[in-house]
Amino acid sequence: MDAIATESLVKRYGDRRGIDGVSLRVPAGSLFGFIGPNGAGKTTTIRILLGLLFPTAGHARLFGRDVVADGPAARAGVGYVPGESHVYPDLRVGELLAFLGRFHAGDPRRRRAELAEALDLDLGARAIDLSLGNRKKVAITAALQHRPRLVVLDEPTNGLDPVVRAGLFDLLRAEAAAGTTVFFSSHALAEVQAVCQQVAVLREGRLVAVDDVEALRGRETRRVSASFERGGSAEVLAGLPGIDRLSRDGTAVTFLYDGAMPALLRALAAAAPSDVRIEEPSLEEIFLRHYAPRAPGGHHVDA
Amino acid sequence: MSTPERTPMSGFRILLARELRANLRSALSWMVPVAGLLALTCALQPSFAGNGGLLEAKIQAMPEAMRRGLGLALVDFQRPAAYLAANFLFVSLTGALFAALLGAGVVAREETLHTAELLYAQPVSRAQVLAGKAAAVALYALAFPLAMGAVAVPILAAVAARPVEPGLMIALFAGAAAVNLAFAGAGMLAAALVREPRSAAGVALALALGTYFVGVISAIAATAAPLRWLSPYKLVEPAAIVARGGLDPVAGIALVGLGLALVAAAIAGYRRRDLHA
Repeated sequence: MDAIATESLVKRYGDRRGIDGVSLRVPAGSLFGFIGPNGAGKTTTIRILLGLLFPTAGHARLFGRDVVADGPAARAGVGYVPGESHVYPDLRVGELLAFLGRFHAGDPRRRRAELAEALDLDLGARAIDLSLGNRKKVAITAALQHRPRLVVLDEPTNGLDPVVRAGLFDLLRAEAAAGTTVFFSSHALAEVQAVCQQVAVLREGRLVAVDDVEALRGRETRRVSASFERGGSAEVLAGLPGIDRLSRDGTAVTFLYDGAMPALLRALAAAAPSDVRIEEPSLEEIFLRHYAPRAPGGHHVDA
Repeated sequence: MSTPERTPMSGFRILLARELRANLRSALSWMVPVAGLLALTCALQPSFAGNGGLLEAKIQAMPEAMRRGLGLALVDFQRPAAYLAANFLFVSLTGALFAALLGAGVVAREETLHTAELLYAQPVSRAQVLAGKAAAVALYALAFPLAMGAVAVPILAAVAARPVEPGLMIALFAGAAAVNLAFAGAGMLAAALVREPRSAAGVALALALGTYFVGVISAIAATAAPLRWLSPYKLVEPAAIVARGGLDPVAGIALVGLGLALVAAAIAGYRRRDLHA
């Protein structure tokens, strides 16, 4: 059974586009990434799945139950980490988690204590006094304390330091190993690659591709910036296979590259630039490179 | 030993308990000052009753329409129930304001605090959530006049020369309770329907104060008399309760029914509302 299934899901805010015809299937038990640049419609899709927004058209189901017609049953056994973690100002962390745990079957106290220890979360602290990162830990604990069969995370690493982020990824892998479906939304490709097996790519409200993460990794793209202020020649680079979107700005060139790294390094050595930067491009650049209409790569979804 | 499987609590019970606790401080901050003022008012009854009727005569000298408008149609400071009725305005009005603001607050707060994403993503229907919140609001709306009665009646019984009429006292506070329930429902409906949750309190405040002034105008101007039906205060006017010898049951039932209908409308309106955190 699919943990998540949407059919031609549409959400409009008046004249504004939210999402447009999103059809997605997330198999139960999978580690599934949901990526797209800010404003692509990831949060809108998630909020429809959780009954916070109502679709303009189309259907969404969690474990076969319609999120509109059968919302409470659809959300049973679902954990959710919102993009921004807000708390009730009058409650302590433990009280807030206990309050949220009461909506679910089972006794979450033991698991709550385990998660609090793993995340270094003080259950006695006043929730309103917590930093952004600690509030995120509260949201993660709330989402996992009842051992959900599906956990939906919307940009869960915002505010987390690298150590806690790594701990979260370990937690999610352990949850998935225990059978939990993980639906991980992010605009950071590296995060999704670190956690997920499959990934759906959303762009401007439309689902443009569903791929294995390994396939995505196989098409890794780098943004290369080279400057030639003290001589050298950028002309050597222009003919290198795997270069795209090359732009010149005075003595500097910038391009996307998804060819073989040794070939790039040889070409750079020959070009003799005065400075070189090789970095991960933005998601938007990756989408333009790999998921723009008619671009090769991935199996495109009609949207 | 494994922990036995526990079924989830009903959303209604969870929210009822949560809202009772969350609003206790606010409720006390309304009730304690009003109860203090009421205690002082009741303690002064012998002074008002013992001035040889001078003050009563002055009030009687006011135009009848104005007296009706201000709820001073019946002036008899010797009689504890009539004395309380003549001074009941601040109890009625503060109770209504408290109930309306509380009703609006419990609904709107989830969006203004951005906790709607936490709460409504749980496996609970919005109807259950709002019903639980409504029950907590109703309990506080009833607790307000109950607390006022618990303060006023013993003091009047202790200081007044004439006996306190318990039935009339109960009727006065029951009337206030009915008004509170109606405004609690109005506050919840306002919060469920307004586009901007932060404006819900303002709308609730306007309803509680606006309908009071509509009631005053309906009593002063004969041509505006039909407007009294738009003012819950006028349906259970304290002076009329004392003159009648009790609460008009039709008016009481109508106000409670109105409160329930407004809560039902709030739930219906909120069920299909997009929640933006």
